[in-house]
Amino acid sequence: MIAVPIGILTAVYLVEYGQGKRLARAISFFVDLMMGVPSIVAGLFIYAFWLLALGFQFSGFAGALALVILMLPVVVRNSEEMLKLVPSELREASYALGVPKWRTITKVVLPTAFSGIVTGIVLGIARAMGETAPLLLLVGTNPKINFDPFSLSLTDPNPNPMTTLPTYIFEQLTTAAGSTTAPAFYRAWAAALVLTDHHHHVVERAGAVRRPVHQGPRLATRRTRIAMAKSIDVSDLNVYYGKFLAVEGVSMTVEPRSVTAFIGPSGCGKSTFLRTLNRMHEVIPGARVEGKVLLDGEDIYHSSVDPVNVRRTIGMVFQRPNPFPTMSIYDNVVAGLKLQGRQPKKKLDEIVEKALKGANLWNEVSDRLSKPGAGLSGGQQQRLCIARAIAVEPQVLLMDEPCSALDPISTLAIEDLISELKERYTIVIVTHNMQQAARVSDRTAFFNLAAVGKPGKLIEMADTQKIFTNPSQKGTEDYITGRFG
Amino acid sequence: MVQRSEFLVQIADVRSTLVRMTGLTRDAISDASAALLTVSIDPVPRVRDLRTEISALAAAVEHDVYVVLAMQQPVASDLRTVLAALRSAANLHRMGVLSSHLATIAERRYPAPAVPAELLSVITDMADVAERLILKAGSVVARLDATLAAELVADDDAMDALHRKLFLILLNNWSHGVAAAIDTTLISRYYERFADHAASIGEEVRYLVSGERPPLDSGDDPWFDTVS
Ligand SMILES: Nc1ncnc2c1ncn2[C@@H]1O[C@H](COP(=O)(O)OP(=O)(O)O)[C@@H](O)[C@H]1O
Ligand SMILES: [Mg+2]
Repeated sequence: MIAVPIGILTAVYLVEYGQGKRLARAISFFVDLMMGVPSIVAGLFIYAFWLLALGFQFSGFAGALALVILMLPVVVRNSEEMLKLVPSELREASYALGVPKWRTITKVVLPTAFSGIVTGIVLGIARAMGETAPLLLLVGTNPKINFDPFSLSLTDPNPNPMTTLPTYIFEQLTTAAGSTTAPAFYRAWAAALVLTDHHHHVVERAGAVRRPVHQGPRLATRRTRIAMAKSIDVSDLNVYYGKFLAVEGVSMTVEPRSVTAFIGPSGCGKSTFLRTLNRMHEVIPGARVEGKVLLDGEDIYHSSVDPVNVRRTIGMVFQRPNPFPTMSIYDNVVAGLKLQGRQPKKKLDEIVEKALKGANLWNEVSDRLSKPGAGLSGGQQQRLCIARAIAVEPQVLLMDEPCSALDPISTLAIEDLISELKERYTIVIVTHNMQQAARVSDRTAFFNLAAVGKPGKLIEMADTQKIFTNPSQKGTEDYITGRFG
Repeated sequence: MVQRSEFLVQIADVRSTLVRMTGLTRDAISDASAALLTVSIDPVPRVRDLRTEISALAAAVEHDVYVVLAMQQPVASDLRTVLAALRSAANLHRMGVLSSHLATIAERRYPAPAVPAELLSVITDMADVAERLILKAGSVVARLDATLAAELVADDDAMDALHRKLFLILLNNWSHGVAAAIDTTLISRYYERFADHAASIGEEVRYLVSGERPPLDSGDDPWFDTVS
């Protein structure tokens, strides 16, 4: 029980905050070291440290400490792996909704990794259970201890709550020695079953959390703010990943209530540049920008501006549909509002309906709002992500290749939606598909790079019609006519 | 249903422009016929204005089609639609020009009649056929009706018959002099061309609906077809 919170917190630190930091590396090394510690050594260590050095008695607590040492590395490692397995897209989706980091971790990352972490805990327990060596050393002489650190569930029909299960099994087996009909033998099996059952129970609980939590209507704050499309002015922006200059010297204006498309060859920095527009770029360690990005004249990189607020104002939709897997359709839509920590006063239902209608998804899902969002088709999931993004009423919507993981019909549905959404939002869409840019956008920006490793640059930006009928740069002409590379 | 609303709106716009052009073309041909048959120059400036307007709309359709092709990558029936629209606009443009040519002949001969009395009935018939054809072309474009389109293609034969009839009159005991012969030939020729362009619109719509082009030849006498 001690090992679990410590283990998970350590893992959270390692995965979410520790990248490249010294402390993180030290912890990681120590965890690895502990992983390799044989149980007897752990027992001896506590024996030496706790009993001899500090002069305490043989006790259940000492045994518990030894087991903590055994469990901790397993829990840490496992939780760490599970947290790493949570797709970064989910974290990004949450950040992009304007959710602060800590809430993202507690509400999105941990729930998603929950079942995995539980497995880790069970594994840790198994390791501890399996190891009677430290027990024999520390507790074995005193099986009727007063403190039982192993009982996770009060409902366990453990006939002797003061004995550890392995010890109990061992005891009963010894009693039953030689005779398979002895009642003690059955008791041993029963205890073993309890162990298995216990495991099962925990896994079941993990599953339960994945089931939709929401059923009835909920309340939300009355949102008086009306979505207002805003313009974006970028001047002389340089974008770096550490020392690598990925995008150089971009200046452009994005008109409100219009669709602006970014096209260009892969790696020219379209996504990178797009992510600077709502300060998602800096989520990546070492990433930074130089230059100015003004949202209706206000510098979003000014030192007094909180990136979390920027992301609330400028929403984002990603390449791969990334609904929160642990949440229902309903909860996905209101995720931004709830994760931002707003106090709901008015019915969220209305917001859900409005956002889903806005994303042209209402008719398809209105009868199964409490079903998991992950159960929808790819195209529906992407529209759910759009609904989730517009539910927080952003003023700008950034979309990074929103259709590249979708089939043509879903693509069409999204394209149609984009042309509807531009009535209310300023939309910037990255697409590798220039026909899509031609179909949906009012303005098109063509990016290119001189060579791999060189920074991407904005080559030409003009009305989409101009770009696709008579571009002024030869580079643009070559790219859109397919004479590229 | 999923649909490319933007594209559909653009196509609908193009189509309504075409329908409008057929209306203007009808006005143009009927004014031009009036100038010829009633020996009046009042309608002539109107015909010229109409012709200018039709040309401008044809250019607009051409531009829209160009943009749709560049931006929407239409395929299959969508592609046939834009191509049919483009060609129909070109036909209507020519019909506007032919109307103004007719008006110009009336103006040049005024106050004398451009059409000798003896040919008045043939030319009146031609004017009627022309007006009927452009009316039908309007319905064909508006309704994209393949049956009506086929009718339109066939109706052109009536004009060809009149054209031949007029030639027979010209070739047998003509007594109105060379200038009148030239005028009448041209008038007849312009009406015939006008009808031919109307028939082409029928063919375009038939192609748009069915996806098939009739075999090349279409039975016209090459002698009549050298200039349009
Ligand atoms: N997280 C990252 N760390 C370091 N470099 C990156 C990262 N993401 C992208 N890059 C680099 O930045 C450049 C632009 O990439 P990107 O913006 O993804 O291009 P595009 O979206 O146009 O395909 C590429 O050279 C890419 O390798
Ligand atoms: Mg990209």
